[in-house]
Amino acid sequence: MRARVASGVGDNPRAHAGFASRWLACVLAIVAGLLALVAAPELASAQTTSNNSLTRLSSPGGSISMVPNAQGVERERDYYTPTRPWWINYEDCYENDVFTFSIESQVTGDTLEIWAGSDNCATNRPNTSNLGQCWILASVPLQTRTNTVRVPARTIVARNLGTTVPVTNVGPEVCDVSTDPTGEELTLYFMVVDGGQADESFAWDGGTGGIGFDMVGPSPPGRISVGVGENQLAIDLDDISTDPQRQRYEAFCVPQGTTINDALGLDGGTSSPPPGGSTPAAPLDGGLLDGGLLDAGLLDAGGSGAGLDAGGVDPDAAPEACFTEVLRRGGRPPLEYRCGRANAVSRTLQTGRLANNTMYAVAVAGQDALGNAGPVSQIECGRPIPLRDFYEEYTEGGGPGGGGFCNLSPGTLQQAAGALGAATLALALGCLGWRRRKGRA
Amino acid sequence: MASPPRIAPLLAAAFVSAALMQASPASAQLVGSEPRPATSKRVGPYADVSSQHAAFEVRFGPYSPKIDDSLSTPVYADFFGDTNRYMFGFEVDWQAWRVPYVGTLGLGVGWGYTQMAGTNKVEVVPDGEAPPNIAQESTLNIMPVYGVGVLRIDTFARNFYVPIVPYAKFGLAWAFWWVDDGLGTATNDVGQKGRDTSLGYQAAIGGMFLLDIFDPASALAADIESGVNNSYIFFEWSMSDYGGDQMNVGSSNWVTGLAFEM
Repeated sequence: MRARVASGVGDNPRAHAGFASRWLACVLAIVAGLLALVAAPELASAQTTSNNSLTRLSSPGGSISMVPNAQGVERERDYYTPTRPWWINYEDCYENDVFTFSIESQVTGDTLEIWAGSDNCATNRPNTSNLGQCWILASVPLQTRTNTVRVPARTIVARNLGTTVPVTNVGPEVCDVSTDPTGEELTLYFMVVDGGQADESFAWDGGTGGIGFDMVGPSPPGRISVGVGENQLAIDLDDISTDPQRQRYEAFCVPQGTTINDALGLDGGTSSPPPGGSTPAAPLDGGLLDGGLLDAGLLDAGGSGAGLDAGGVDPDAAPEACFTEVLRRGGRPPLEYRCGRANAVSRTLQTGRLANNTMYAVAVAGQDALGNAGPVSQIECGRPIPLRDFYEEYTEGGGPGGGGFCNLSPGTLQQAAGALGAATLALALGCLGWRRRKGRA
Repeated sequence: MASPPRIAPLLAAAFVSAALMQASPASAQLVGSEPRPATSKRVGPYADVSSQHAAFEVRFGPYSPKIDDSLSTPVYADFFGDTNRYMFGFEVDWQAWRVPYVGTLGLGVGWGYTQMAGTNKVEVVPDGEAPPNIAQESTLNIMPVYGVGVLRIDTFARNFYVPIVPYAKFGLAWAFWWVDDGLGTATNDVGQKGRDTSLGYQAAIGGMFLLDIFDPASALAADIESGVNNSYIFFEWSMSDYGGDQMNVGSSNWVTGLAFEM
């Protein structure tokens, strides 16, 4: 602590230096904080992605081995979340994603089998009558040094128990069998099988993120209401139930009259287009038939509809004012008609750009951390219409200005020149005062 | 400009504060156990230890843009209504020169931000149809930045134990403004984007009340530990105007906040 009592502005050069150093330290601290904010996600990401790789997995005798995540394991579709890169969600299943395993072998002539399960499948392998929760995914002869084995995601999801023969050509309906909202975590077992016995094996659990499948999305909001905007709808979400799986909400906007054929693109290209800005994230059917409408009961085997009440009105169908076949309360949402999303704590959802003067059937579904959309909410109608915003009203009322931050009209240029001159003068006077004071000191 | 009814309470507060300052030395003598240097002064609100070069203000107040002043019809009032909107901001002053027996003269730069929202309007309601439930808003964002010369007359507090520091500011302001129509930057019928800058002036006149008088010992500790010489609460009348061929997003209104001299 200095004993001297400073008398005020500018009378203590040493204190001046201290002041400057304090400000410098403050600025450096802010910069360091910003750098830490920027770098933290990168560091976290690096930690996340380093968990699966570079540790060679080998059977005890070294007959087979694999380096996970160094081209030892690949999948055709991009993973939904880097925290769980080997998990399978509904879209992965419906699209029939394929896992490719590259297994190095020191032996030939035996059989390589890949099993999935939560038990020790290598121990259970000899006892085909007691396979517990293990099911076979692939079986290929070991013939070369590097064996590439392709395993469809649907085969993993199918859980075909009680057999040592891998199931093939699994249909998309298997994606709707699972009902566990938390999904199922698995371990894969890679075995060298000779004469029905697993001679050697190693297990792979997917690393930190694990491997498994989760097909079930979270619950939707209990009630929605739709407000109108220009090229947009605003959806209020009410009666929200607690669902720990819910990470966000997704809205689906289907133009009135859209038929299943429209959605499937089977009408020769004259169907109503999806809402502007939405990118199809699924095939044209997007689960509408196999995973959506059939399961939701909208189309029964005869295609005549289901769930009608005594008056012949289906309470889960879209309202008459915006009726469409492809959206139904409780059914799987038509993924290509996504039109907006909001986080799980939001109570309103703004859609992306929609067509004005088009009536839409609107519903909302919850979405979990793996991207699974749950059943859709009740369906409401909404029609975007042209509106007047403030800037339109202002310019129509004769208000000047606008065009961009860099837009300089001649009048503004004159003002800017005057302002620059005045600022320069003020700065010069300030510098002059400072120099005079410094000279006296 | 401060209205007359506001001056009376300020003067009353000043006299009360002066009385408090007369009483403060007793408590101030308890500060510190070290023997005071021979040159030290009585511990009071201006017993600065560190030197003083800058002021920092945290500012808050209502904001009513003068947009309608240049229009024949009150578009702003119709759209956003007459409810109060508030602006918050910061200002940093370099107190470059101490004017003997008067106060400090310096240069300041400031930043502020405010936003106001109003529901978009229906172009046409078809006959026989109920008005739709409009859920889309326009938001007008205004972000002025300014540079001002600042005169703070602290001689009353420094030399006469009246803890009031009148001040005045004047300078140039440059306001960024932009309109969001609910989907993005608004665009008018001829495709012109609703964002621009307006150039004008910024002026203010006000007074700061010295908070150090309430606890001179703590004020001294703050000076020693963090270099904050004086703390104030201030109240000012702020004026900005952006006339001419541009959107006048200026406002004349009161502003209050906290100020620290360092």
